[in-house]
Amino acid sequence: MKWRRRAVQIIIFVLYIFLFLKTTYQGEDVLSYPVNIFLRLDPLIALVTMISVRKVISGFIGAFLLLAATFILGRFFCGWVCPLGTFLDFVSSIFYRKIGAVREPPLQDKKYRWKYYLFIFLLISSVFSLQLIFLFDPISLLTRSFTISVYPAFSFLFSNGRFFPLSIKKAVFLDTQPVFLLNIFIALIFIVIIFLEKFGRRFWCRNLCPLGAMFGLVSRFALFRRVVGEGCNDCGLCGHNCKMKAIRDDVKKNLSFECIDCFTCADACSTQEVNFVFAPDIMNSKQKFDLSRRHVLISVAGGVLAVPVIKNIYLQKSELIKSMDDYLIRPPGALPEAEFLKHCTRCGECMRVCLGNALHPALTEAGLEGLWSPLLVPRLGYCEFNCTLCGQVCPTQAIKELTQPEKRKTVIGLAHFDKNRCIPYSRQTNCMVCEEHCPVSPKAIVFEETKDLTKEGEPIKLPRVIAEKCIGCGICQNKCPIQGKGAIIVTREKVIK
Amino acid sequence: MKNINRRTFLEKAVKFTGLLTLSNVLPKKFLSYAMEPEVKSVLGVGKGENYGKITGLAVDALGGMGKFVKKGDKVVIKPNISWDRTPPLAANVHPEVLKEVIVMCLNAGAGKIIIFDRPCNDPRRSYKNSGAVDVAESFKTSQVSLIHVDDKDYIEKEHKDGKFIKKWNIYKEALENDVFISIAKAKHHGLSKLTLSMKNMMGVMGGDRAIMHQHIDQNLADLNFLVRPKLIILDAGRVVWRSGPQGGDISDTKKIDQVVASRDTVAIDSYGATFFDLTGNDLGYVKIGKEMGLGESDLTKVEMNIKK
Repeated sequence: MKWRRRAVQIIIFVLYIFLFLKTTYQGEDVLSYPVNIFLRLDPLIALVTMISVRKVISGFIGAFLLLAATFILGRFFCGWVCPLGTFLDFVSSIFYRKIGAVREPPLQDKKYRWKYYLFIFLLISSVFSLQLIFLFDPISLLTRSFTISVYPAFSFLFSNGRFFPLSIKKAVFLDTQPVFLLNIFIALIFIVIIFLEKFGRRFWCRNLCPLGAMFGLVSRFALFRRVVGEGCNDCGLCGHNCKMKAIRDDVKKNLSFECIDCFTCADACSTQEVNFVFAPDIMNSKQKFDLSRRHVLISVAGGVLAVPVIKNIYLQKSELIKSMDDYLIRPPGALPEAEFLKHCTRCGECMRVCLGNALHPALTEAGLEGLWSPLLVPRLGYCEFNCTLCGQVCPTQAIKELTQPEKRKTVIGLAHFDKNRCIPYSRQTNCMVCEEHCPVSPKAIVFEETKDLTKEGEPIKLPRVIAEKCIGCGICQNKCPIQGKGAIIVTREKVIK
Repeated sequence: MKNINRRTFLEKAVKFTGLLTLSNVLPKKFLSYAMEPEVKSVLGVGKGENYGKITGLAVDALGGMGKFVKKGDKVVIKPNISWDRTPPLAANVHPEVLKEVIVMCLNAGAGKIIIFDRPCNDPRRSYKNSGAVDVAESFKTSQVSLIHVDDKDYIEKEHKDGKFIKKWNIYKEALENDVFISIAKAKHHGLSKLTLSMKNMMGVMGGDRAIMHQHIDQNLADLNFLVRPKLIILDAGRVVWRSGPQGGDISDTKKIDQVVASRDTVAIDSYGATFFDLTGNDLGYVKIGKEMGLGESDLTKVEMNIKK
């Protein structure tokens, strides 16, 4: 059974990686694969987002079907499907060479409760429209880590053909080398989760993952469960081998809400008495679900208190909206700021798919609540005029899916000249790179010839922005030859409502 | 060698250094003229509505592609496919023009054909939406490849006589080939008035080329000494006459229905200016190009072979 499970895990993980690599422009304006399917199958993202935005999001139907399946099958997602779980299993196999030989005492530790408290905390804060799921959701976390840190690092390793043949680079990676802000920060979190495996297999899944908690709550009543036959000799091998530590002192019972249907105990059993069957619970094979009331109350209180602590006060006080970060430029089609933050799950899909490597995770630009939300950084990349990919991959519709004609008219910011640094204004020399690249027709950057002459005797051409036409795509700032911020700067000015 | 006394040593030393000094000066002033005898610039012009066909006519008017491409040659083509715009918007070289050039090269026996540009917009989108990807794939042969430029594949090239651009990193393929063909697009351009064949060479530049825009006329002339295509083709089938160089609306375009071919980039740009009711003298880079000896801007001194 174990090998069957492993095969399924590997196939699904390969599928996940395949879709991850396909989350990019491949010559078609509309992506041909449902690249965000794993995120849309995630009931935690689905539930918490829908509670915090108070709206049904149609893309999440699959997530609720999965949840329904969990009612019957138990936490099979964690054991068989979850790409982060598979990844951590793989990490474990490096940390603990022979899995069958591992002797982990069936501890009585109660750390597994943490994730339930965390889940309650997240759920309560989402009731108050604070969406913090992005911090802990495993699919979001894995996709973000791969996008921001892992993929760029591998792309770089494979890039020059010194360590690996260039053919791999050509087949797997883009021609361009993506680089993201906060890549080390996000990598560190991922590395911590990997090294938590040192403290026990599936440490993250067992103790921290709120998606696991959600499945755990649902799977308490699952029909598909572990039963132990009469011939059990109490050897305890099943408990020793259980990576979820779901089998405690009484090996005939398990913590059904912790069991991920991995069948390791059945394979390890010395008497072949452990079986997984569909049956009503006549043998009383489950242990009690025991959260401490005090801790549940603390989690609820924490969820409530997090709201005033973390929520961006700007969004509540309209007169303060004006003082929001100038450079907080959102992807085209992004919902109004307050709504956007409730929707966005920080999976990084939009950053992954962004053609010009223009979208980067925010640190404090959007307040604490906006950590890792997508930010257009024109100096690093601009928004491609005809591209609508970010809206296509957003699993929570935080970025609306736009048609090409809509996209071309979608305003995300406004360009300003810094005349003190702009070359024609300050150096008696013509330039006009911004005007050349402005993609709207007629152009949003125009110029006037003046009577002043350049050193070569040509009339100086002075550029200016036509605010009504500018969509804030940022190509002008991206291409401006002046270093640093550039002499033409895009702010979010026109977006504030 | 036998014994050398001081006198002969000094004599020889003076002669040797003198020769060295002269050899440094001579080639520039005399040898280059000796090696490239002054020939009359020729423009081949094709006129008509079938842009593929008139491209063939223009090259035929120069004596056919066989004059440029020999059997087994490595041909590198640099079309202007710089913008994420579709063919009707005329911001890129028309796919029919590109296709016809490749066909002619293959017929002339080209061994390998490499096509590249360094687009202003996203390279993948620009290649695709300009139609170049479909053209390259239509040949179904590994002889023809459309490649994305790689930051590492640039070679520093020097031209000491350049005024501002004395050296620059130039894309390897533009230098290492048997025949280098430039296919330019005739378009309006805010700063330099028009973008024609001389400006097309900006696509072979590495690094931050935005600074080219400061003193663009001189820079373009300098640049065209660094890289000199053997054959230059100007696509003026449909041109962008305002909001250049990318237009974006069908009303920004105009039909000219001409394709021009030549070896002389100055002559071709001087002729190209006439499509926009200008002359070569209205374009700073054409004037400077002529002054620096890059080519002939006076169309009365240029031989015109027009085919319809």
